[in-house]
Amino acid sequence: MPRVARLSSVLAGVVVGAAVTLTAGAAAAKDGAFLVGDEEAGYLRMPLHRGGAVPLEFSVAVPSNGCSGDDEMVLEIAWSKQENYVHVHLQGEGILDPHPDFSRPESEWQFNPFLAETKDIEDGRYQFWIASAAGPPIVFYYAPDPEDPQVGPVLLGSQFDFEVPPEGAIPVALPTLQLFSSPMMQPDEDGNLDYDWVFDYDTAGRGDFPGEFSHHFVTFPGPELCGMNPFRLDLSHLRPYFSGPRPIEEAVDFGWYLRGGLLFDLTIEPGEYYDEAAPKTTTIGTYSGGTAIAGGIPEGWSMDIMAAFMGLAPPIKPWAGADQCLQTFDGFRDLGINFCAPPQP
Amino acid sequence: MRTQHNTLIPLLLAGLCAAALPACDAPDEPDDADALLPDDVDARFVNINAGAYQHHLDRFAVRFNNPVQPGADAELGRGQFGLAADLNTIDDALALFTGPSQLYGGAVPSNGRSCASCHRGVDVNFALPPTPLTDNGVGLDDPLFTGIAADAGDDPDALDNLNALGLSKYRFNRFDPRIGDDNPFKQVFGWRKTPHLINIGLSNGFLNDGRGRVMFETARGAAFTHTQNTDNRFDDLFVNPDLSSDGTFNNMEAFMFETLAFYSDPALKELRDPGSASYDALASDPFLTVDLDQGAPSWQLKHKRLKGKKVFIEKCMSCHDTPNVFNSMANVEPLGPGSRPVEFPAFAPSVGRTFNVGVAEANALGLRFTRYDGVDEEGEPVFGTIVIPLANEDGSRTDHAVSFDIGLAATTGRSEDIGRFKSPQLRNIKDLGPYFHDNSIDTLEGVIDYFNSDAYNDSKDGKLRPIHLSASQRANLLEFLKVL
Repeated sequence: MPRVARLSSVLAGVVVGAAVTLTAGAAAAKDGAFLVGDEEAGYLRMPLHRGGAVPLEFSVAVPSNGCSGDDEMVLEIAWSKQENYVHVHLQGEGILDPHPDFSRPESEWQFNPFLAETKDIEDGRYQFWIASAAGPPIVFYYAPDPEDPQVGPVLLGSQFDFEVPPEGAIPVALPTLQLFSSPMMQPDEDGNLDYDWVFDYDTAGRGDFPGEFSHHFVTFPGPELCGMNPFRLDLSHLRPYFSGPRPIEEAVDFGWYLRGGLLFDLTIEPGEYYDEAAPKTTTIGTYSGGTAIAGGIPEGWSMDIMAAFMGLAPPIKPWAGADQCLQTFDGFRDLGINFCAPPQP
Repeated sequence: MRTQHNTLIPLLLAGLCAAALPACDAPDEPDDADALLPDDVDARFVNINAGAYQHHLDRFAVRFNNPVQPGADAELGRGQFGLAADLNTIDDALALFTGPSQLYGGAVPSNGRSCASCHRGVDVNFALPPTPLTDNGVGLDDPLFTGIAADAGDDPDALDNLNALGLSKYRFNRFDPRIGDDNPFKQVFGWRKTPHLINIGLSNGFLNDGRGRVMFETARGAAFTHTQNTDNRFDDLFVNPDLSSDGTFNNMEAFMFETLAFYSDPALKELRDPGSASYDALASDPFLTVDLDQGAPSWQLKHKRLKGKKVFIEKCMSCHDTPNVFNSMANVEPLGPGSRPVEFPAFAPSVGRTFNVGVAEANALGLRFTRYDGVDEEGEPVFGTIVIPLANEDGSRTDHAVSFDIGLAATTGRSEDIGRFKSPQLRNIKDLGPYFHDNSIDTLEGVIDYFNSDAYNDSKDGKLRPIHLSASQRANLLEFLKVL
């Protein structure tokens, strides 16, 4: 395990100050979630839960132990800007299947050209993702489909897919999540995970491609422009879009992610990359959570991504898979509304 | 019982020892993690980070990340706000948010209200006049009263609460198009004061509970009161270029941040600009602009102010910690790393640090928080209890029967946020009464007495930050607050 340097005096000041001014006890600290510090230096502890942060079209896997692991998945992150490190620690006992297989029923699968994942996975591996809930807006391009003129403008791709905007395309800016990932990992044969990942604070990037790739952008554009309405995302036809990895030269520091609020997910990835030149991810999650939602996401609850994107309350909702050890799927969102149709009087 | 999880905490504590406690002999790489983990360390963490702000970055620098947008016109914003150039006369020529509904069709009518209907001008520090309003220049034919249905529908308490107490009914989630009128999140409400807009540019979070993270969100919410209760169309008005030159209320934001914001003390404006000449001095000296010699005091009074300042530092600044402004520095980071446009704030609602000091639970004015369900056969009003499902930190659910203002919980949906509100700024506090979100205390003396009472000390945050003042401390603090 790499040596982790001590945290800065700033963080020390936080703790000392707290110790001086606060006297009441609170028993549940170590079992709960908390964060101390700031962008300069800090520490985060957060239990991760199944279903905590599953956006559209994400499946949540079931461990073969029937969710009877002895403990929960606990995430710890310590960081120091001055000493230029971020240390991620993931720990859980009996909660992951080594080399997992994952199968999606047909009802959970529609090929997505902007994600390019496979339907099923054999002999998989795990990857931990850290996302900022405040990625920058990116531009998507829409244009009529010449083969189906009855349909409104369809999604061609984003600014990252075209060196110059497609001629005649309609540009639409959408907010994004910005995320990067750990190296691939496996639990031991008993399903225990005790994993450390240390990276440079000033260069947050893909741990499995160090020095090569930085982050991705993910958001949920409508496949057809007439099927989406920025004020009624809950009624819109939306699908995940996952950009290719950005080069390491575009990497930002970990503070960027901290300030935007964090989302976490441990995904199941195929044993081999779909495309090593532009590796993306799957929409198969296991344990997740985040700080982007006020107070984090309690066990049995899930981020309500529609509310979050629309700025509505509350940002969490009961998770349909709570208290069940079942594979779950946050379904396809297409209510068939055509926002290009003339408004009703 | 310690768990095996906290492998990083000892490292943190090692840093603490090495950096702050030189005598502490902490190894760089502890083999026995638990040996370095004092039993009470958890309380330190939890107590400063409990609940909805438990994942909140602390702040050690003054920073207001809600910049005035390039090209925004404060003068045009003044017109949209509804004030004439004298900043006192209501002029709603540009301020009535009506127009064609671009998304839903038809026209959205105005109820005659503008921002200035509630934020009446500089003479009243951009809030409502003293109550009863009808005795202080607000007639019953004023849009504030004739448009009251926008806030309160037919609620029979609304008129008296507004006129006699200066409180408006806020249904925090009124315009959530996803949920029906029978949803408790749509029904839940609070009786809230109109916040003063003096120094609004130095707020960390807006509205009484801080749920407005940037002015864009806040202005959007406030403009809801320009349409009547039954009209749920709003966002399409918001983007109507006839009403806001660029569809983002940037002009009005500029008016509030540049004109209203520093009316009390123009020097404070420099706090918004780290590149300004006075920024470092303002940020590093919390009392740089506080004049203890105000009014040429006797030496005895000056001495009281100095001692009161000490009490303020010891008892008040753990929450009111922004230099020279004295709200809470712990802020939201709604724009993420700073490159995100204001119309794309990060996930909502993720709010700043808020506090439960017991005022909501005390409900000193005896306000009713039940749902008005119309009248029965005898014509008597019928009220129903709002039961709102809130998440607990352990994942369980509490069906909370609303009997007082639940504060931020209406926004976060979390039980630990019940009764939480933001720390307001305190400059010119002597002129900003009545105090608290519900106008429940009229005087500064009353505020000090509240914080010196069991009601405060038994509250959620009062237990963490107890205040017990002697008679002389009370008197000295009062003299200091009068010149703050």
